Amino acid sequence: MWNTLIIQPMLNLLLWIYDLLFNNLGLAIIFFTILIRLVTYPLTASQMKSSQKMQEFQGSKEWKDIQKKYKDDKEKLAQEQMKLYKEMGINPMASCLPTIIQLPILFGLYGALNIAMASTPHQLLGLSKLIYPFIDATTLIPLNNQFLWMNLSQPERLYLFGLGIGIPSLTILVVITTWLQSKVMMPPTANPGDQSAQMTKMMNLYMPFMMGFIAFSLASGLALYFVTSNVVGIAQYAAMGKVNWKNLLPSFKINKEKTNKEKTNKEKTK
Amino acid sequence: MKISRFLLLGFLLIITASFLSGCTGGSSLPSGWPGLLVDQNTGYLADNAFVYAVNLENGSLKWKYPADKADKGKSFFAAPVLTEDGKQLIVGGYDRVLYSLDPNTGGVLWTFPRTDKDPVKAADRYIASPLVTSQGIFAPNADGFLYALDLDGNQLWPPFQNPQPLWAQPVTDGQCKCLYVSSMDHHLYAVDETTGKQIWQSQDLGAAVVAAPTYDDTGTLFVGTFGNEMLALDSATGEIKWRFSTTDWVWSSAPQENEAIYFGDLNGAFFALTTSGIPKWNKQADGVITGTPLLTKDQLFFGTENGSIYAMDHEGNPAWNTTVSGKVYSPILASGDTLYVTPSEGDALLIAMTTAGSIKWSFVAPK
Repeated sequence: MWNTLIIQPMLNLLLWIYDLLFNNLGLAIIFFTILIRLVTYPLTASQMKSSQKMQEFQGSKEWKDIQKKYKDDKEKLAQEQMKLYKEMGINPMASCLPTIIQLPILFGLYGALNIAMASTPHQLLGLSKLIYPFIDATTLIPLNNQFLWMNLSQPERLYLFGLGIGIPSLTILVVITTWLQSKVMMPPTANPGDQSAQMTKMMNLYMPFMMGFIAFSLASGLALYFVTSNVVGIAQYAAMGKVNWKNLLPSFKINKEKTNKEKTNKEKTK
Repeated sequence: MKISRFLLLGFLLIITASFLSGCTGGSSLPSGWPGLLVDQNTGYLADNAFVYAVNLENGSLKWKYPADKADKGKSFFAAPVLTEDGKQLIVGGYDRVLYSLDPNTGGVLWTFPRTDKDPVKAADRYIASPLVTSQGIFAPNADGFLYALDLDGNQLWPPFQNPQPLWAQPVTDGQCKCLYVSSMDHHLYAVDETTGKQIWQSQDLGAAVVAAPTYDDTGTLFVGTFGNEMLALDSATGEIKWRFSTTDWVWSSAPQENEAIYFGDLNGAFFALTTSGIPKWNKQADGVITGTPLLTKDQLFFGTENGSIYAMDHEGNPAWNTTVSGKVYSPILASGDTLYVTPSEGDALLIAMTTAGSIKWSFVAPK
């Protein structure tokens, strides 16, 4: 079921693109990732809108008042929260749902890439069973795994002249772009001390390292997919005008926080 | 509340990481099928994390390599090969290392490369067995190179370079002083055994070749391809003599006996052709056939992905069939009147059975 509905169509699409792009797997992965990100763009946009609404909700005076009022009655707090959601036209699931829908696509894409790079007998046998009849596998297989200096079916290491050890350059790119994406996508937090902000902060800290670990250990074709996906993700958010470049400047943030504190103090004095 | 949210976050991250690594071969499923060598009283089995030496009298374990725990990163699937003097067992690993083991103890005699810093070393897995002759060890690698070593593990000649992975054991007919090398680049090559220079390259065979060629005494090589074909080539020039269409990819080699060749395809079709390419008969099995059939004096045996073992005479008349636990991708081997089956993902790693299909003993992975 999973193979038939998700992996197989994606795999065959990838093979078809590979055939079109002069049997260059690296280019095929990049093009394929861009295509998938474009197809899922409406979901991404909807998720972004919902997140922004949720951020506005978190920072709203009404919500803060309710939190204060019912801080000792969690049941009542939850009821009032739902009520306020309704009043403000927010669907609390709306920001999660697109992510949940995208997950099978992400995993499917990942699985398709892995099968396509078949570098062991089991993988190749598995691949042979998933190719649609209209794809001419005889001319395509084995896929040409070489892209720039990389063998896309192996973990990537860049050996520079004079250096005894290989540099995991693609892993470094994965860590940087994952971190960049999470940073520029993070909307300004109304209340940096609250739980959700803390969780987002933790997630943004751990995620680049987790993705980096995966990229370091597994086939570099997957790392290429991560980098492309991150870059396209940033570009999409930028096109939507949602990118928060200021998050990349720590000094600016500190200054802003200072200014905010000063403002609050002044207001209190008044 | 706060702690439980962080726990949930951690849990989601772990699930994602597990799923992703599971998708990419990090799971415990093996990535190849077992490779077996049968020699007198000992069977040498390469199966995932270990190379086992099994007493063929009773299926007991003599030794395993690594001796204790599985070594993370090491796995073996290519059938081990003994040197002619029987003093070395050569086995290639998925860790890009070729090992020479002591056949009596499993101790390491030498490795290629000797250290990570050696300038010449394989860049990918050893999926196929090496060919070992009195001239040396010829080890094909998935990096596209054929490495030639002497019996001490020193390089004989610079590796023969090929643009695509080499997944098949090279073959020599003992006359031409050459090696016949199948490549996934759609070609068959003849390489000089003493210099590593190319003698000839076949024309494009139309698809990848992962099976070792077989040959007869009339100077003909037989090799199947992923282009749903069995081909015969002139062993002196590489010219194609004839082509025969199959129903699917051909993964198995085609052993020859009495002017006929026998092989199966991934659709489960099993063929007998004359060495001139004329169909004699064909049978339909219940699943994918990847293993080279075993030919004995008056019978032939092959296994399928569904765990079936088929026995028939050379005219295709069924003798018996039986089923074992697991998938039979590897060739069935024989010694005397015993057959040896190495299923993947089954209860046992090695099953000894009579030529009538009754199980004698099973070797299960020691805990």
